[in-house]
Amino acid sequence: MKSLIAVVTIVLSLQLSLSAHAQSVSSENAGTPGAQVQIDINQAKAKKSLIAFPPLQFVGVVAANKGFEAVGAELFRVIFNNLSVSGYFQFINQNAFLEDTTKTSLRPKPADANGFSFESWKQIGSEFLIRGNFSLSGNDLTFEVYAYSVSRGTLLMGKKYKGTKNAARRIAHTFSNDFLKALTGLEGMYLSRVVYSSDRGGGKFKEIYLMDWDGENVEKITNHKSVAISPAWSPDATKVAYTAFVKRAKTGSRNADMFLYDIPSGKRSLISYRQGINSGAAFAADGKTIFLTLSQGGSPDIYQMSFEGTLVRRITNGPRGSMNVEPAPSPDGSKMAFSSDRSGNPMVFVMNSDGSNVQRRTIAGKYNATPAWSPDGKKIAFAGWESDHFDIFVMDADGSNMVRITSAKKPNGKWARNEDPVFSPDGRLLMYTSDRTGSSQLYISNLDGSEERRITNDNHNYFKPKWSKNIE
Amino acid sequence: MSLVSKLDSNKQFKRYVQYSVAAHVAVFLFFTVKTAFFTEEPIIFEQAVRVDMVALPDKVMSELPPAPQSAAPEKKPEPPKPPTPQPQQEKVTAKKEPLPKKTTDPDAINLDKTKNKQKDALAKLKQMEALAAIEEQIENDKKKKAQEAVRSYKGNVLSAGTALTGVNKMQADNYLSEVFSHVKLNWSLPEYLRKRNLQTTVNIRVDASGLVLSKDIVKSSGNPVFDDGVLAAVERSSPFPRPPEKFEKIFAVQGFLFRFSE
Repeated sequence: MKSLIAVVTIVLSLQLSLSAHAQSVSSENAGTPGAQVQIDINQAKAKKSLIAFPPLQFVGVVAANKGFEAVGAELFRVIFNNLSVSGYFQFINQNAFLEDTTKTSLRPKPADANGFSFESWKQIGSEFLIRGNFSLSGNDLTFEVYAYSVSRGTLLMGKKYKGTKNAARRIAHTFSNDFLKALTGLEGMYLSRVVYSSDRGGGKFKEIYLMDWDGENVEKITNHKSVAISPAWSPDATKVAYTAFVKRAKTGSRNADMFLYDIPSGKRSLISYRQGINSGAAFAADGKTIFLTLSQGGSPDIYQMSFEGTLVRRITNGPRGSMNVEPAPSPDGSKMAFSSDRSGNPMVFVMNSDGSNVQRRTIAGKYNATPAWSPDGKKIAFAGWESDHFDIFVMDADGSNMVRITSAKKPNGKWARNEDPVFSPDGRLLMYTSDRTGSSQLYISNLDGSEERRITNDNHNYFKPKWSKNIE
Repeated sequence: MSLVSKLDSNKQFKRYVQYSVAAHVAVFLFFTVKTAFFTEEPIIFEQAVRVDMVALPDKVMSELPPAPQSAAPEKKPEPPKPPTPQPQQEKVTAKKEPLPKKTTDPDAINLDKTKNKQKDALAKLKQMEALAAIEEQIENDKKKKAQEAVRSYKGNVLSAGTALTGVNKMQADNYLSEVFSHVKLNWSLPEYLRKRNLQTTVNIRVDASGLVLSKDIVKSSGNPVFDDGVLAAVERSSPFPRPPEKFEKIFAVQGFLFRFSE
């Protein structure tokens, strides 16, 4: 797009042209005196930064703390994985280290006589160094860690984290967040969690589960022994709204009713049980109301509802017979993306949050659905139907600059279905489902589709993931 | 009756169905055959050719005399053009006059005839000469016009906005684009610094062989790692492509500005 010629802007000096070829310069076109030739260079090649992360040292009485190795290994493993997922770093193999980190302290040399020397890390090309140790006293864990910029010989951050032994993962996630913040100014997402619907409990039932973003600490929060779908986080990550096909006590028929689950208290309430579907919950940006899809016997439309279940407002009143589903309020609450088949095939639309000014955002494709906003409100991810499967795409919020994220095949050579994209709370990653292994599993990738990683690792199916903010 | 007519209509119906099927099959076959054997030639979209109205003519200009000189003789051959039609008119009148004399004086003496003949011959010769002259002039005009067509371009004017034109501009452009791709190859940025709207401007001075004499940050991005990366890129890029001779002094004394932005 940006042609070389456009990028290379030349501001010329009068002397330059005069001294070079006097006759070809007319007096009318005198260049601005003193101006210099200027070259604009953009789009640098991106490289990963080399980072050295020696094993964490245990300080304390070994005999008194059996199993300390496991704690240290967990701290190390979680940090290693977190920083790998960031896509920023490449770890230097520990065999390449020139310094025995068991004999040097966590501080650099001039200040600390027993300290490490930056030179020995510089020599192996390391740009960053993380030095840490941990101690245990009873059930309490203390993790002291320092991150250095080797090339500049400066400390980026240093902290002591304290918690229980069981909190090792949280401590590692907290450090990872702090490190990214110190490095880039933008915190990581390592303390965030994911809510999803899954059949991992066995049988045909689908229940709602919570887990850490990296697949750990799975927690089941529903037991309807039915099909529970479309969970959504409240903005403060304390509540989950979801839809379950539950049996009506009076009639015995099943209906897709909406529930609200309060995580700290474990309290569950039935908030919408209108005839037809009550689904596609999405909390308003201010966390005070819920957007949802109600069919009420007719074609589905988007409504705004209080936590008590009273309807605040009808958002869409789309053309008769057309569906308006999957509301996705923008992070600032001013706009809402949704799917609608008002133009024929289901497409992604964006409107003001009061339902006015509906604009179509996807033109290409036969079926585009499940829009999700990036945290900065600049991008929308969605699943688009291509010949025989869904793939994940990301576009600017105005519909331009569409980028493909997924393109994977199953072992049998057929295209895999990739669905239900959602942005990480720091906007650096996407999570989505893919059935490339045969079952619908959760994956994450960068916003350009690179660095794809599988998060869940079993033969069950996972659907409709939603990513929370960092839960402190 | 009604039975028979029903049978008839049934038969008719069947026949029409057969016609219809036959017609459909025919249409289907037609299109399959057409698409299978008579496919249209695919439209080839060739890459657009960029035509620079300013730069290209200037390149030709440099080998030919400068524009003002060529413009002067351009106008000279034009004035002789109007007189050229005059001999043509003379020729027509000359031919017409003797003809009526011949017809009106059938009994005239041989002398007159011979004189007339001589006159005619002279006139013809003159006409021939005139014609030859005209033809020559026309040919000359054509040649000159063709030459002028090559020489004078509308683009042979300084374009607004740049003070450099012609060879200078081309050479500068060439050199700068060389430098651009050269430095770009050597510039890499840590992944964690990308998409953060950082911008650093460096003034670089280069000697005649392309070696970097100095690199000074004129405007810092505010991020020391980014600035260092920029300086490292310049360092790795040394030596630069050899600057054209005429720019040597400027680049060695004044240098040029590089604006790195991500």
